[in-house]
Amino acid sequence: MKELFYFLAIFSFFLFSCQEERSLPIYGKEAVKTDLGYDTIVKKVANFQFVDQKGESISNADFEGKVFVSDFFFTSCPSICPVMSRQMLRIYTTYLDNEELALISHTIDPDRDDVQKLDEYAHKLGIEDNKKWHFVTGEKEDLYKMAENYMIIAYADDEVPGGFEHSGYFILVDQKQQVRGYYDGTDEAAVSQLILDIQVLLDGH
Amino acid sequence: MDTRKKTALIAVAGLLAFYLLTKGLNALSSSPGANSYKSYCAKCHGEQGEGLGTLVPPLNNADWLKTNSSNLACVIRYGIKDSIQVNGQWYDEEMLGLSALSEVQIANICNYISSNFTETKHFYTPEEIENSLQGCKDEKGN
Ligand code: HEC
Repeated sequence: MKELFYFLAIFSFFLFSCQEERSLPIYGKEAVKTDLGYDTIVKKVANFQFVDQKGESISNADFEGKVFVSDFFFTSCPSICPVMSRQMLRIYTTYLDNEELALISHTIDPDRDDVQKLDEYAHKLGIEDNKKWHFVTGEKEDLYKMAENYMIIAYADDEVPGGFEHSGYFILVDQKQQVRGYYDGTDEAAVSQLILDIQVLLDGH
Repeated sequence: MDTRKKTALIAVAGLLAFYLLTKGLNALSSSPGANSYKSYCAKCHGEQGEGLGTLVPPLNNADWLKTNSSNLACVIRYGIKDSIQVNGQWYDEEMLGLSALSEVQIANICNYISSNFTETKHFYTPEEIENSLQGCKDEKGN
């Protein structure tokens, strides 16, 4: 009888701790004045259209209903870019078989990083197709606007991570194209957290 | 009741022993060289020195290290720009020098790499490190 009691106690403890789901913040919430007072709207990721490493056009529509991780880099960057790529690759391999997770790496040096250069870079990381991880280039102005857009979303909130402008950040975006997190892409522990948070979004929380 | 107490005691002792053991092992593995390698090199070359695709060459079992063992200190301080071949594969990205590292730190990293990633396990003395650094400093003419 006592054993049964212990068993139930432990069992319900586990049940309880499972239910305590982690929920992720939504960035870019803004108060707007309406006739009735104030309302909040959520800034979504801006519309974009870039070209990926296979020369295919990539826009918001390609990420519809998917969770994606976004970052900014350039192929001839010898300092933090290989570090970020190593961490992106970790995310890529963790969710290799899950088609609801995609990655997009934007070059900030489109003069040098054309489609071919990006494909070469992807190959160096062992990425042969563009099914999951898109390395994109485009007009310099559009790429910078995109980075700025992610920054504006971060700054709309009080929970801004310090030094976002120094980049190296991975941005987590949910199925509704809302930003759900900023993570230091050069920090292994931060990226481990990101990997867990992706699962939270995939599970629909 | 008695046997239950005993089991509990054994369980607690077991946990304690496990905790101390892992702490002890951690202390052993975190030599200064291991720590520096982790903070300054593993981000690119990987914890096991496995490299990163064909972007960053491996250190583990790298033939480059065999033929360039006296160059290791220089690579750490001054980096490498030229294309190089490691275990039959060409690499053409640039590695920046880690100019902030002291000679002692460089020596510790070299010995960590040598004892973990090479078969010869060559031991680098501080004088040897100093000499190689002097050599490549002259070569660079600065
Ligand atoms: C930012 C990334 C990065 C960091 C950090 C880095 N390296 Fe490298 N390393 C490279 C790249 C890229 C090359 C290839 C350079 C080339 O092709 O000219 C390289 C080449 C080398 C080589 C020669 C090739 C080989 O693999 O045998 C050695 C030795 C080496 N690095 C050691 C180190 C050590 C020791 C550290 C830490 C003190 C370190 N590196 C930190 C990127 C990095």
